[in-house]
Amino acid sequence: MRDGGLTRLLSGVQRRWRIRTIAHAIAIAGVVFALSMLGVFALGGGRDVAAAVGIVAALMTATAVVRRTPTMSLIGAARAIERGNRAFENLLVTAAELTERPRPVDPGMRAEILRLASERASGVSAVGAVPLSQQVMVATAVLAGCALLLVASGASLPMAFAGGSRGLQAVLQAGAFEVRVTPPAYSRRPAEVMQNPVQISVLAGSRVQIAALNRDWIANESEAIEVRTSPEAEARFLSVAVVPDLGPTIRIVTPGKDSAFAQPAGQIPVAIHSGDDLAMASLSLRFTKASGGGENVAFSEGELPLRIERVNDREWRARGEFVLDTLNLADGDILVYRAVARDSNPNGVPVPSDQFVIEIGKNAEIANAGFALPAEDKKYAISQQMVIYHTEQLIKARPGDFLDQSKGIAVEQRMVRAEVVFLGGGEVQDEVEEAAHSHELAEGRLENSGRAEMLRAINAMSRAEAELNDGRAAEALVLERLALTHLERALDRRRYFLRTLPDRSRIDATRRLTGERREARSWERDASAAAAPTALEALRRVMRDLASGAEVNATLAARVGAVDPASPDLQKAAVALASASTAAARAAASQDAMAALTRHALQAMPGGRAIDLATPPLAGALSAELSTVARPRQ
Amino acid sequence: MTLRVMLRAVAILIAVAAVVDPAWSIGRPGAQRVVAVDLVDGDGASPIASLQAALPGWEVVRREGTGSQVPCAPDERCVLIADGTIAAIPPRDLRAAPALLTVRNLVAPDVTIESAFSGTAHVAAAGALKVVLRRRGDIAQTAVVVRDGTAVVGSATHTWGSADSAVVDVPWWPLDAAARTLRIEATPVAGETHTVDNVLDLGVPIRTGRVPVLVFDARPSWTSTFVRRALEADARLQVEHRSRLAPSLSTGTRGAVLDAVTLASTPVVVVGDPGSLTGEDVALLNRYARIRGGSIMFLPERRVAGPALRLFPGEWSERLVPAPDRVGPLQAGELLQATRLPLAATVVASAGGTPVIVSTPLGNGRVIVSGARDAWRYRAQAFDEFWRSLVLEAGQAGEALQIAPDALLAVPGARLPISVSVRSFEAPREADVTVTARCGDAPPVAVRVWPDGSAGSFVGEVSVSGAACEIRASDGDHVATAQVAVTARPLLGVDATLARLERAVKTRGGATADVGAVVSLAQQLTSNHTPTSQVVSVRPMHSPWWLLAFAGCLTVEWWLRRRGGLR
Repeated sequence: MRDGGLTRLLSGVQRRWRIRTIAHAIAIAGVVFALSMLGVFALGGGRDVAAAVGIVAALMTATAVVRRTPTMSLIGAARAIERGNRAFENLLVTAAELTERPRPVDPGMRAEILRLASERASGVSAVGAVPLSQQVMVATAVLAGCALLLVASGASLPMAFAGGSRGLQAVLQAGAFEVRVTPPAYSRRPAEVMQNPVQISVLAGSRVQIAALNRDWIANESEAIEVRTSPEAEARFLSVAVVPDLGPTIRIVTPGKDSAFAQPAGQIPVAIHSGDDLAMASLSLRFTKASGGGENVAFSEGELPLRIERVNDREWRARGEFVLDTLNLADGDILVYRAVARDSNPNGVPVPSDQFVIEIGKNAEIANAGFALPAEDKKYAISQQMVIYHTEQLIKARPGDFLDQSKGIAVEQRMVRAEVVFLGGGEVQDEVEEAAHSHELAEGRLENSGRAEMLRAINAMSRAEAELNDGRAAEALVLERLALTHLERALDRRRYFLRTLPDRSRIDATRRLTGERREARSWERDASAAAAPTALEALRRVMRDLASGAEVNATLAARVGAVDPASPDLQKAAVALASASTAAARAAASQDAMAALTRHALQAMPGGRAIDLATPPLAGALSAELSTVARPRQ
Repeated sequence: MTLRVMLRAVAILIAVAAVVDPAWSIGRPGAQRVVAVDLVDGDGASPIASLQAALPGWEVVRREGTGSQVPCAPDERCVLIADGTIAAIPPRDLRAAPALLTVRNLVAPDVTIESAFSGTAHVAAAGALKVVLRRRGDIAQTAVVVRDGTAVVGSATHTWGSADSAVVDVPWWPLDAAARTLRIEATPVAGETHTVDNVLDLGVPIRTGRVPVLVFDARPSWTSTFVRRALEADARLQVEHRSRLAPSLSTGTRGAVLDAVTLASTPVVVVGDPGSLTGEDVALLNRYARIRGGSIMFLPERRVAGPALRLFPGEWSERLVPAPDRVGPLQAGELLQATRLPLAATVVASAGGTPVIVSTPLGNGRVIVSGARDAWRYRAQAFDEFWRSLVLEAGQAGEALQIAPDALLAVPGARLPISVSVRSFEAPREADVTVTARCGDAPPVAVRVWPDGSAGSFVGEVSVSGAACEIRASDGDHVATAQVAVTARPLLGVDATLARLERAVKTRGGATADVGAVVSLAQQLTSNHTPTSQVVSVRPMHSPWWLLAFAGCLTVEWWLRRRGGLR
């Protein structure tokens, strides 16, 4: 730009913009200063500390405002001038752009534009482009107010800085700290900042930051932490209790039972209630149609359209209707349906409801309102076949959310297994435990081989579930089929779990005397040795320290909390220890902590009963003598 | 002149007599004096004042009783004033029978801990206490707290029903592997004035090792299988197992055999289906219990017949009930119940008042029979806990080498009698038993033991000090330990202490009375009092009047001399 008129004009506009920004920052900082001082007064702080805190806060605010406000470019200045004077017709902006962002323009044209712009700028003032009076007045008023507040409080600036530093030092020495908790994004909860908390509850997956400790982690497990901001600072206790995100609950309320119909005609209304602790994400009703019988069952899947009523984010209700005429059902067919809900947690798995059955057939005992279930054995086999079918479909389709769907099938497999275990008598509570004693099968201890088949089926189902959870559907399919084979063997023979009554008469007579006696061998195993409960020594040390009257402080509280961070009882006791401020409160908290530790220890250790078998040394001789006397001589 | 000579002679005689200091004895009637020994933890002045008032003309001397023995000299007549808080017994060498004045001011409402019992405690498991409570008056609930020092290690709350006595199970946990002194406290109710009987101290030894157990199934058995599983899951037990499938076929852990070598080091044997035991098995088990002193636990699944029947105490009959019946902490529907049990039998659990699980001494050992045949069907946590505890107790009682201290709680400085017994399959032999005791942090000291007359039995005394003592005995490969808790002023239970004192006083022919009957007791004391002659030594020259006489003689003699002009 050759002409100095245009340059001066634009520079003047930029200078006024800077002044305006500073006035704006002074006004905001003054307000922050006043609020900070009042806040410190409200918390019981001294006037010097209040003034120091206010000044520091004001300076920081002012710096932030100045730094965050963008500086005005030449183009911006030109636009500001043209905004107030339309007569320039974009000439100033063009000149400023050519100056600030040079581009290949004909030199003659460029010189002409600059000339014209300079001519027109000569009569223009920067005052109109960026008005300052209002901002300056506001800043002045705020500054005057701050000065008044400072004078009224009686604080002097030198003393304020000295007192402030002392207060800050005292705060640091008191071990004050700040915890910032940022819940996972899907929860839609805002981040929280807490000052010197003793206990916080966070949603699993939340980010927890403690700047004083330089700690920043994703909380998935509860923790008890001793917070010491500096070596000379007072120790403080913090219990971080992690609350897991609960899965959604879902229930089919209508019809809420299995149904049977003689003919595939009519409508069946379906009502579903579902809820979640944070927010629901989806709700659907899926059905599987089983046609045919025995091992030649053919399956087809579908989804029923639902009308979803969102009561709120956490509670959804849905309605739908099965129109049997349109489902191509035939005599003997079965339709199994279940609702599936998912919450907003992206790592959560879909949760299915209880499954219900609609059976079509002339043999249905009570048509249209009935309670005719397929035979138990058929139901088990069909359920397991359905799991196999779903797995096959999954392997074939290989969808994008393969792992999620695989986990969904794992849930179905678990439900089938639970049904088999529960309806079979509930004797098999832990197949791992049963597997540990599986040598008894070889020992011939389980006379009922139906039970052995059931055990094998359940074991196979458990392993299949584990594979599905890991997304290994192909491997799971092998185990699912194995489970079905064992299940069918057990049910075909009409053998069920061994019920509580031992029935030794149930012996397979056809197997008698068919073994090879010479092949019979004794069998030996290693003795099993149970491990003693661990972590008892830490528990004992804490208990002994509490009992010995050790100083009740954050360190002791942290040790109590660290015994089991997942125990609410211990965390509560630790918080009470950390919060106790008087001697009486400390004594009471100490007693409560001991009681909590005792409850925890008694839960962790094997229990016992007091049985008195003590007999006097000569009791045996007396007993023998008396029985000799009582016995008739021969 | 004569008077002067006489005075001088008298003075000389007094001086000579003083140097000679002659003495002689005379008989006098005995003093009416009684020693009141205060065995009340607190203010015992009031009963002593009452006693003094009831014994006019008698001298009542008060003494404090603190140690393990009442401070009474053999010649003294003692009245013990006790409320059961201080456990001291009168010495054996008292010539006059002591009297006992009990101070108990039981006014409703009142809760008393009558007694407490601890099962075998192990460092790796929770312990169990049975506390016997009694109430007077209308009390709804009583909280029981167990303290180890100041640490609260157990608690329970009992809700009273119609009965005025109750047994409360209190779980607790050991803070260390050394013997513990547990203080059991029943929280006083509002308005309770006599709270001294709300507290009881109990010494509990803590075991650390594993108890070897042999589970032998004479035939595969459901009951023993589930009992074995419960035992195998417990770190306090080392379970070996052998199941006989056929005469020449068996299964189980390596080295588990039903023979004398195995049984010699096994304190307890659990036998499944004892009806299938052979005659040889029964003979071995019989010897194991009678001679070796082991514990046998029979778990029949059917009515027992055959050789094992002779090891069963009493008569056993079958009872089948449609709904499971409660058998102690267990449940069972197929029961074998016992009748005509031996006198020394202990009923461990019963169903409707009929013994079902019974322990009977057999020679040096014992046989435990469980008639709860199908308890395994209704198994829950109580099933596991019951069998583990029973096997632990049986194992403790069936050790080959045992130390039995006279008490599990002793005061510092006491000399505690102990007995050591050695049991084996072999005939009585020359045992080589070494016993050491270690109290607190002091180094172990050897304890002399000597035979007490029966084969394999020895007795000795341990000098108690520190906070806890561990006594260790060894005989060849066998090692046994016992623990004794030590505390300065144990509260052994008001009722138990008073009963012990009363027994001690009565066996010496003394009288006992409640504090309200102090006049009656005083009358008995005075009526039984026989005046005695007391021999007293008299030394006449010890009287100070002789000085006056001596000085008087010399003064008068001097005055007479001066008056006569002599110097």
